[in-house]
Amino acid sequence: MNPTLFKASKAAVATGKSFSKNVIFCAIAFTANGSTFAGANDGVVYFMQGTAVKTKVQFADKSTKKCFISAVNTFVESDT
Amino acid sequence: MVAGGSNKQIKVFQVSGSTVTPLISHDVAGSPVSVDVLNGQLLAGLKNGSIVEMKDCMQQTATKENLIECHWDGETWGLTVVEEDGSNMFLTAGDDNRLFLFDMISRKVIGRGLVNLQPPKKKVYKKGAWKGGASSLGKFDFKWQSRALAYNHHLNHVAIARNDGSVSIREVEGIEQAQEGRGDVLDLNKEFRVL
Repeated sequence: MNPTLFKASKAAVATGKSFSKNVIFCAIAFTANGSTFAGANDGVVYFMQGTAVKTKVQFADKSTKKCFISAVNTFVESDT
Repeated sequence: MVAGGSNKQIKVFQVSGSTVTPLISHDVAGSPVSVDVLNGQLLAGLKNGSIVEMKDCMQQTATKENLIECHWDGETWGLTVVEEDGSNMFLTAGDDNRLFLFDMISRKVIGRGLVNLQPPKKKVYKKGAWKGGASSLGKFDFKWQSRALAYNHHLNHVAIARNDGSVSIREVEGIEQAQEGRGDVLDLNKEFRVL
């Protein structure tokens, strides 16, 4: 886990707000501007800027069986 | 942003500011454990060992093709494109102690290496002993399994994360010549440092 994310998850555990309890990150990717996408075993991709969670992306329908986010990456769409 | 889940789906999202909007979802044959995009083509390493190529991944009608049926003998845990100008290459690593460099144009392996340069061991676990990091159906001991891969195009370094928590940094020489079809298959075993 990268230091930022580690700090963020520690902070989240302290506040109990940002992440689900005992969440495990299975995949991490950075954007060009330094934000972070972290895929977790609670079926959520966390979009973070610094240590703050900006957006939680529910990957699979909550009603479906527990879903691990096992791969995350970022790319810039080409104009051509 | 592209993400894959254990529900055997790959989803592409548009990111604008702090808004993340789902664009499209694709079903694949196995759980994707590594994804990247090369010149608009989505590449995914699956837990069943295959590598899927998806052209026009932003379209629901995207064509899916199995680029490789099997990553030697394991799950394709690491996949990263080689970010050079005009590059059509990508690297993969698996829990089969194998590291490959593929060329999309010739559809050939143009580089080979091992995840761990020590002589490999098959899995033999003593009762109650630590079995290593993430679970795997791979035949090799956890120290010979890869879990993630990254390429630094400024330094021509490959970083291979292993299931025991260590990272091996490799120097890659002659990557351009290899893509042009000149020279032998690249040696990806030049270990620079282990972290």
